[in-house]
Amino acid sequence: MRLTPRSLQGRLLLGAAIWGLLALALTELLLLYTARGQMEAQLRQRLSADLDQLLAASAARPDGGLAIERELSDPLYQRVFSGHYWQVARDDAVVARSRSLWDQALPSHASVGAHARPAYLSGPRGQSLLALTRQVTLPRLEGTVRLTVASDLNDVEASMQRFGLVLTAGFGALALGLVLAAVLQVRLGLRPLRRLRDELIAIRRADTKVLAGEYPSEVAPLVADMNAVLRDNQTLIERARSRAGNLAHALKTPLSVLGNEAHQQRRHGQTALAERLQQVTDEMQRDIDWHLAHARIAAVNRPDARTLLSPVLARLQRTLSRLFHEQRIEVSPMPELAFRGEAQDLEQMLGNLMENACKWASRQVTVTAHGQGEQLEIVIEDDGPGLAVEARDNVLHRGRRLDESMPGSGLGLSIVLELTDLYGGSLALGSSSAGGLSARLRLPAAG
Amino acid sequence: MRILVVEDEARLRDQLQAALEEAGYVVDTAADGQQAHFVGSTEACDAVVLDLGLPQLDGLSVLRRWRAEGVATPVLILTARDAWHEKVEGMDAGADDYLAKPFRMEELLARLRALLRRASGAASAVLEIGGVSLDTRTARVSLDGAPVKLTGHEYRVLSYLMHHAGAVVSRTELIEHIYAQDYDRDSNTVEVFIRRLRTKLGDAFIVTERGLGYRVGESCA
Repeated sequence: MRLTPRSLQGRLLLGAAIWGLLALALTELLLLYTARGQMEAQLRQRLSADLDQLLAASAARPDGGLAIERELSDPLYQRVFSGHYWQVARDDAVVARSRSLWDQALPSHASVGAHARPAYLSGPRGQSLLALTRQVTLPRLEGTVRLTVASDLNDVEASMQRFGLVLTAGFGALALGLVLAAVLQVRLGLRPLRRLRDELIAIRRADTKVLAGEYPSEVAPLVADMNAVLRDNQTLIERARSRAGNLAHALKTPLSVLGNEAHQQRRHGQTALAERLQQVTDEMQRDIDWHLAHARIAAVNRPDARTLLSPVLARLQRTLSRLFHEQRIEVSPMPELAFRGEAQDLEQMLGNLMENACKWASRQVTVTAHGQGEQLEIVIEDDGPGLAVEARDNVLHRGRRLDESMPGSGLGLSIVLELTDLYGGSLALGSSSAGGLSARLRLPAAG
Repeated sequence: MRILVVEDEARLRDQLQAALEEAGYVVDTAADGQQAHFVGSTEACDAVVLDLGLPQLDGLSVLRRWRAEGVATPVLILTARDAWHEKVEGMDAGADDYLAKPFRMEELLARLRALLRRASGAASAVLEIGGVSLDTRTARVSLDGAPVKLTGHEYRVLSYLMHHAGAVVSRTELIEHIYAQDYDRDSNTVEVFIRRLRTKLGDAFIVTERGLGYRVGESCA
């Protein structure tokens, strides 16, 4: 069985509670013990004073007997079984007693003397008594006289009980307060851990890369170590990604060599060999391109990602205008429109679509965009031959295995489709006003 | 026409050189960035095929240096890097065309032809002047429709002159554009080629501007 709770909060609370209750209980016991001692001491003092009074009142009678000349001042000695008693004994025979004792006698006991310790006796009606006894000789009186004063301990017990009750109630309230304070303290103390967890969740969602908050000095080293691990991880991922990219790129040059070799072989009449070689290199090229394009996808779920449309379109327009000299690329002004996602993903989608348009346009490519609430709509149109309706569906559904000689087909489009899916957007093909193809790209907008 | 091929992979460089020479170009090669920059800055190349991942000095830096120094030679970037931001960067550095590896040799040749044509201001792949027609795609020449057989050097001289129709081309300029860098040049051979071309295409086709050089087509001066 587990004795320690699973949660840190539980452990801290259990520790605080056990220790607190133990300390409180001990303190209470100590207080009760001291208080009792104090009360008994007071009682003893009173008894001692009463004993002095009794001694002063005792005198030898002319007949050799003993007389108590005055009643003791405390009226309780007069009330029967009041709990306050005195008696005077001479040679073990009680010769005088307080009226309160009535016909009873206090049991005799051994503790006698000027500074004797008080004795605990049981008195009439089973009262438990504290008694002081002194043995004296009186002038003109033969033999010794034993004077005893006793008082009921009941008052002390009752006081002690009351005191104990008050004390327990007080300490109970204190314990409750302490536990509450501990709960609060633990909560407060563990709050950085909760914040740490929130930040880690953010990292998992890829909102952030490292833990950024300020942490108390006990947690700070942990955060620093965690950040170091995260950074190492990041470096590792980036290195692996760049290695994969480098590998893919490195393969392209030998692939070029192979392709050229195939071409050469064909010209030397080795058609079958050339065909096979070409097929294999084409396949390898497609695979490399496909994986590279996927490795490039930066996506997604960064809620604060925001990419302005205009600069990306301007860059693509500038580049494509130089690559396709015959085409006029018109981009309608769209200040302030922004895409909720990564720049490189937007560049890949728009670049591929615009390049397709440039390939098939006869003279003109137009790009327009507008925002529709949470969405952006970007329309890329050309004045080329366009696509029949069935062909459009084919192009959209068959993706990368499609014949590269068709407009808007091939790898470029399949990557666009994949990216729009990832961002929860869509791509629709239609015919443009100029009779060519229009590609309608819908993407989430950023405010 | 003289092409500089910059490629660090030896086999691909050889293939490019062979294919380009077969297409009638004179080819210089460079295997690293430093060398490429030097050749491109000092030799009279008509176009450059430039790889980007080069030892010593990367292709983009070479290109930027050329452009900063005023070298305006058309440049076709031939690279494995084909992400959009890389294309944008390449074109912004001053490239004129961008071809991703792996590529088809026919495509490279077509793009080069288009580059050279744009540089000379011609609109068509077939240059036609005074009954002489030169098809840059097939490296074939015909006179009034009848094919004319030319040697490699003769074709290069004719091609260069026709790409610069109307302009006077000096003998030195011709030599620079029909021979590769390390070739043993002799300016007298140019006269031999001109003489042979005149025999094949008629005396009046190539005009000698005394003390200046040669010209085909109407003078644009």
